[in-house]
Amino acid sequence: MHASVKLPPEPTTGFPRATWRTTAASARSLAIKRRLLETPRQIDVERARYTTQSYQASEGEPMAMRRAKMLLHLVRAMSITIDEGELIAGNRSLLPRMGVIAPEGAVTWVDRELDILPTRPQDRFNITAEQIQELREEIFPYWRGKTLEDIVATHVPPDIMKAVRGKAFSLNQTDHAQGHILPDVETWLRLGITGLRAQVQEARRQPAMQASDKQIFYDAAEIALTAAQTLFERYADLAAEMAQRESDPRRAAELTQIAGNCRHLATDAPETFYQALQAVWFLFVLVQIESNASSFSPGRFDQYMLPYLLVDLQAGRLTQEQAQELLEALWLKFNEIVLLRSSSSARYFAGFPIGFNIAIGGQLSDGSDATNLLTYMCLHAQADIGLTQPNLSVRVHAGSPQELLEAAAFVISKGSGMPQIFNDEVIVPGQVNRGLPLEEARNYAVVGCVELSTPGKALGWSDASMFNLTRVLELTLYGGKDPQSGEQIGLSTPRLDQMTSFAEMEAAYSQQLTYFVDLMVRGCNIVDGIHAEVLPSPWLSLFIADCVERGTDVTAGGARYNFSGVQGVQIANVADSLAAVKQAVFDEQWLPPAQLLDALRSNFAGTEVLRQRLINRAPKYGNDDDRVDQFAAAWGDRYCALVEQYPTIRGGGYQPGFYTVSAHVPMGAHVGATPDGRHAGAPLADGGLSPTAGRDRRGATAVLHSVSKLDLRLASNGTLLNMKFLPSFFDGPEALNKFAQLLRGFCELHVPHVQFNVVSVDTLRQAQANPDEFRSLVVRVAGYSAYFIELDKELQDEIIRRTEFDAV
Amino acid sequence: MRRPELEDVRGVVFDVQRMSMHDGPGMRTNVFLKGCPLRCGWCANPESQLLQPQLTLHAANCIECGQFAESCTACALAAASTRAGQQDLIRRRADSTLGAGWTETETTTRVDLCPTGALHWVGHWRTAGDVMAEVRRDRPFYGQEGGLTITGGEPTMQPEMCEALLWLAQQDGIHTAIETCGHTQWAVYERLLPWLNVVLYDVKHIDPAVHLRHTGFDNALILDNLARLTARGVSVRVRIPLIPGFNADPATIGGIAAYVRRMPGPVAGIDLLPYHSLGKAKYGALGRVYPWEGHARLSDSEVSACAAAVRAENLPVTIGG
Repeated sequence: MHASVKLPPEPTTGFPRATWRTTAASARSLAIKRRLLETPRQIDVERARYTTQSYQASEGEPMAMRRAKMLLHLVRAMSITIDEGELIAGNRSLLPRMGVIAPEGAVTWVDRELDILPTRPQDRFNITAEQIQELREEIFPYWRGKTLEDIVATHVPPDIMKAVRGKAFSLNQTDHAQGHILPDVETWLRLGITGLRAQVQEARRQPAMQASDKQIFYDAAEIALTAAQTLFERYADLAAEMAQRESDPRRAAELTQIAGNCRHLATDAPETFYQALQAVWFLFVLVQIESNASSFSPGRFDQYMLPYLLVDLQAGRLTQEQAQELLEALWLKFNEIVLLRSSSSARYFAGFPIGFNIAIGGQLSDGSDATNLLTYMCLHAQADIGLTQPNLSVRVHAGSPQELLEAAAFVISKGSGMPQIFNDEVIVPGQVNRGLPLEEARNYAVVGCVELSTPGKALGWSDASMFNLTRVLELTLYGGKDPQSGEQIGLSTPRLDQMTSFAEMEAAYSQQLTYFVDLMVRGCNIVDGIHAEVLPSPWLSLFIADCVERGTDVTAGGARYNFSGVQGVQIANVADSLAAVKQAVFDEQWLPPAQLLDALRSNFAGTEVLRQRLINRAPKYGNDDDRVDQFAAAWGDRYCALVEQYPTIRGGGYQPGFYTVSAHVPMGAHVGATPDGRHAGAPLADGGLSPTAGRDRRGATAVLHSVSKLDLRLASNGTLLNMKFLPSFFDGPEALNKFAQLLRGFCELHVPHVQFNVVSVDTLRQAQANPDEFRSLVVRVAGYSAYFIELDKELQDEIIRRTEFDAV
Repeated sequence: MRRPELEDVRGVVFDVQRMSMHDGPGMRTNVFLKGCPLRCGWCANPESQLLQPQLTLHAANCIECGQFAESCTACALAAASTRAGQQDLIRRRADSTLGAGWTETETTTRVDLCPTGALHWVGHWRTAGDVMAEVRRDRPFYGQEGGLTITGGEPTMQPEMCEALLWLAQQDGIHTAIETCGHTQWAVYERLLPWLNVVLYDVKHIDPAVHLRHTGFDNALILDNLARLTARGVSVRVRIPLIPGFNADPATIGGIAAYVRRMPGPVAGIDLLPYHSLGKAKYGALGRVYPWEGHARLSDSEVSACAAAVRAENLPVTIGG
């Protein structure tokens, strides 16, 4: 019924330029925002308690059934509330931003960290003595040996573990469900619970689906739908009851409306914009209750929500102001869920990136521009709310309207690090290169931080591993040995001082990469297989084609498109190091190789002059200098070529990415001094494709040129480029126009991603000194925004150091 | 028309600044040519004043490596080797360029020994073709409006280089601008104008005596050239540095605006460039004393008052260019 609705003639009226400077969230939204920021983060034990009860009761049953029954038990037993002033109901914990423990993922690290949760360096949570006692005495004992974490630990063979311990790569998703997916929101809105149930029942009657494992899948799916219905009814009942008790008639009417929305969704598909917003949020609450994972992303929200908005506006059911407030209510909701991570994981993914990524703008399936009224309303919401979620992404292409680029520039100038910008001109061909039909490729959206995927049809397993290209280069310098321990971690190849040419150096590095990539893929395959056994996801599988048609869980290969994404870290350090070795050791020969190795092993102790010379004399990536950029291109492309040969165990293939989230800090901690002049243990370059902080000295356009020299179609899992601008860059009447021009150039140079921190160093230093006064200061970490004061000092310092571009 | 010989024209360039936002329309690449006839006390680019390449030492980056002792006797003084010693060396060589008896290559080799780049050359001989290769790189960012801005120093101090760059840019369809202090022979402008889209033209003061006292010359040539440019219908934006202790009062600025309005041809508008002291460290690096010491930044209200004085003359005004 919505397909016939036409766009209004003035699609930019959602964010008219005249209102940019005066836009503001409603008093209600601001009050909720304040409450979100001020509520201390607590540990939640309900998820753990009720999951344990359910698993104990379902012993011996197929895992898919146990997972579905767990979901049903949770939604019946968990405490629910509707907070003051809220317009959209639902959360997976009683209070916002609670640390939820999913014991089926892990208890070992949780047990180890329970007592330090309130004090650990990154991602702290309060916990009570009673909670600790319940977890330790009643919950954890049941799970020993049964969790994903414990099973993975006993299944990874020693050669792979040696490489992991040797820090050549990490194996991710080993202690919680893997998330990283774009559920089919469009179908959910179209069918609702009743429609989905009919689809399941239709599929299970097919002759090909009569095997018992298929029927088990469908039984589980139906239980999951019952769980959804149960949860929506509980919220409907609660809202109705609160409405009765409410003395303020206006609030009572709102609560009655919430009750009506929830009651409607318990059976039917949404009919209004307001109901559709509530439905979107419920979908994500339920995937989070089921999976407890990061990066379930709503995708192309401005596309699938537009028909609901237009119908309501045209019917006069909503004014645009009302629609904006409802939209901002959802924006706030996205901030209520955080993921409790282990200390080590929290270093790699610091500051609770939960990854509700919304990708707006871009192209329609026929290649025409997709920007619409809701695109601008989303930007408006981000300008108003300015919190860390949703992770707002704007897709741009050669035909993007100037208004969109300037509106994006304006929101960027407000400094929440959003929106980040994605470039259709390179991403779409990259998706086609992975075998997607062009129409499907044009419909890509973003998962979590910067990962690329197809809405509703793909399991991209985007964060399977981080591969430390810099560490492998370090091992290569020493013939495959760790320079400190002397342990042989990689292949035995010649040491730098045994080589006679740079070509030998390159050959050895290539061999080591091949060796470690192979180990990494084998490790990822093992983890992938265990997920299918331990964490089938009946609710999630309803929203990924073709799980229902095939009667196959999404974790077991039910998706139409399957990938695994593995990130190469870090191109800048590799390129700079190789350029320095080539120049100093082989071309100009002013540095004997043994002297370089000694200096590196001793972390440049007493050789600061040498270090400075390596920094200042050798060319550096990020300056549009082919002498070094050629290495970024060659080794980036080489890594991609190695990775993309491997199939995943779910069908489909491995695909490379270049991004680190915040992992450049901990991954750098395990790499000794490098020939680019970096000290031992210092962070690697940030982002993924960014130059090393302070080494790019020729401005932002030179950085974009350096990055563009890699064939980034191949990095189809996602890439990340950080840029930092001073607020003064945005001064002056023409600044937004000029910034839009920067985005046009970025588009033309086929750089897939860029994001901007717009905050002065002074402000960051003040925030370090007086955290309480800067609670809402949001900065861009890497593919996501976080509260600056919630990051540990080292990461804060790293963000301060990133090169800053001012207006010149 | 082909003029391949222009690619080989050489000039002393001391910086190429990509993605400049405030020196002409759109996003621009600024090419800084060395040499300026004026000696303004507040100059933010003192390294641009002399035509020749110069040695500078940024003491903050010096790690006192002591290497100069081994490699060069002239640096023995520095090797005595305090930071002050090195600075003294530079100071003694201030305004000089090549060392007595050193060839350029010799000096460069020695300077290259500096591991941090604290001691380095400002200004390099480059060909127009080489500079344009860098300028062309940023064509994706120029859009309809952006392009090349030649600044300095004073671009007209190197007329051949300036003309070559402008000509080559125009051949490529790149928009061109120069930022000029106006103190040059009219014939030089005549030579450049065919290849120029916009002239950013500094007017610092209307009073010839004040102008002479603070810049080294009176303003006769400058005002005369401005009149001729506008008479020719050239697209001119006037830029006024707002300098406390020199011209940063509404009466003086209003006087300039009134004068500009009476020019024979139209002026597109006036950019006010408020004083900053960011160039101060460069004086130390050149072994010079900062002449404009003791002046504070202008307050927002002082700047606004000057802007209002321009508006009172019915001229469009921007702050910061």
